[in-house]
Amino acid sequence: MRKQTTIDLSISLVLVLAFVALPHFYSNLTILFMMAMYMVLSQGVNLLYGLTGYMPFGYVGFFGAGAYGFSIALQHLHFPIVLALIFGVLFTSLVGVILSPLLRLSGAYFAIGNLATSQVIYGIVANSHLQGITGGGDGVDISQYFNQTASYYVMLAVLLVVMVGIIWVKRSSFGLSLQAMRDDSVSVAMSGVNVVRNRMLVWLASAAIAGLCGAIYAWFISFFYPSSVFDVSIGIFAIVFMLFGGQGTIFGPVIGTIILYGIYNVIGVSTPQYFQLAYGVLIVILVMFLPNGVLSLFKRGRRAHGRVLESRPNF
Amino acid sequence: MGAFLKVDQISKRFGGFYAVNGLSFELKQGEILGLVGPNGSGKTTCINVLSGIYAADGGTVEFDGKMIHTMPSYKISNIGINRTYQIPKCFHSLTVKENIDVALAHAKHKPQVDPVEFLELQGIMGRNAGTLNTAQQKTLDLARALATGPKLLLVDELAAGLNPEETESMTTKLLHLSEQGVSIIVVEHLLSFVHALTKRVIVMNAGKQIFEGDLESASKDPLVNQVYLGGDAV
Repeated sequence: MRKQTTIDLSISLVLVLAFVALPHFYSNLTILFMMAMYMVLSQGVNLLYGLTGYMPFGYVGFFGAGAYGFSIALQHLHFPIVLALIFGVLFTSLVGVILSPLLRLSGAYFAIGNLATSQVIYGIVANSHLQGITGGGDGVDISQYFNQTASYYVMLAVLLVVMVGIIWVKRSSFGLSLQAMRDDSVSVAMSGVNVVRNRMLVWLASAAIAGLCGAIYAWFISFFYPSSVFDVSIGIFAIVFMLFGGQGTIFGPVIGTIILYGIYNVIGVSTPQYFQLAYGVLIVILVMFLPNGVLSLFKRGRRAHGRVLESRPNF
Repeated sequence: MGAFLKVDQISKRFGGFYAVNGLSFELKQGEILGLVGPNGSGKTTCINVLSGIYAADGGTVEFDGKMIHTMPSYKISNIGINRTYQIPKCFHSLTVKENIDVALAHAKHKPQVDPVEFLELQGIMGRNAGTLNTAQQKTLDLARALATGPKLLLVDELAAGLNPEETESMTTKLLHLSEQGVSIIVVEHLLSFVHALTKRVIVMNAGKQIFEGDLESASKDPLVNQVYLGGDAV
């Protein structure tokens, strides 16, 4: 177990170092930033869905809340960047607390409820009566803080922290109790697990990850409209990348993002008319043949090998 | 020795239907009590109330000097009550070892027995719980319960699906736990299993207790015969 953790941490470090070095070989910093951002976002979805089974279709609500929390801290509270990022995360966590009654729902009801609440937040932010605070439909301009290089490296630092966090969760008894909660919340409570508290912790951690991503994204682009940070496709991309790579795994969201966001940029630039078609076909193939994601290919191999080694049950 | 568990007039209602209606009984430390009755008589609902899965609509439950009828399940597990399930409720995506590890990691009491050795699970520790048959899953439920070191064990139809040899082995194990001071409430349709475990049974019907005593006397009780066999009392 300890050896596997060391391997996982090493791979994560190599991944982040590769992204540190990549701008020296590839000049499109926006694509690199977005790829790193989607890796973090997919891990946030992975934490919530992969480990506890809650599908956050409205995940973008937290992303947008983080972007606006950060911008308000800069523009109105005149916080320095680091404090504004922290404010963005705290603001998103507050939104998470307010939306926590959603956790009483499950399955499709939770997914739809979450999507609806994200659009409610969008509606509030874009409301012209709040123009003095949020900028309303005119958007936010924080271009005086524009610094793409710094925001890129901060995103990479967040990626490293999130990867380490996911590795810890997966290897800890806390992570095990989350997976058990996903399987059966009644019998896990009888095992002494405080289900309500654990769900809340994961929900807030996942919200904070999305909020931090939104805040750094706002810093990176420095001018945005409500529609750009509450775009439902941001959350959907994070979900699809996570599912494509493998839910509940450490590197599934990373692999999914590299493959799908890579294809998105290749096809989206050269033949944008075929992009939706290619994505649709890929998702159909995924659902039909690899419902547990690309990484399940390796697991299948291991499981088949393991079955031979297992002794027969003795009753 | 005084009562370890004191159930006083508990009731549980679903809409206008009383699944348990004013049930009272006491249990001593290390004692085994059989809870029997026809389908729908309220046996499992009673277990669900005692384990905190359902909140009682009325009455009180006192265990080891603490009032527990308003406690959530995880606290009830922490103070030393655990259970098995009529339909097994193991963690399907986890291995047998991980299933037991979840309970061990949160246990507040030292287990009286090593659940793996006691239930002879060594050979299947690496298997996913979802691949086990029903009898194995029920045994795994018991292993998880034992991992928390329960002082009171609620056993819900554990013998259903076991062959005679396995049933006999399970009887020996439960009697051993009782000798270790674990109080046990056995909900069971297989009356021979109950008979081998205890002389004290409560017969329930329509949420109420209709008989308390030994199983042989119960079989001669007119009201018990009426609810089991229907028609006039024998």
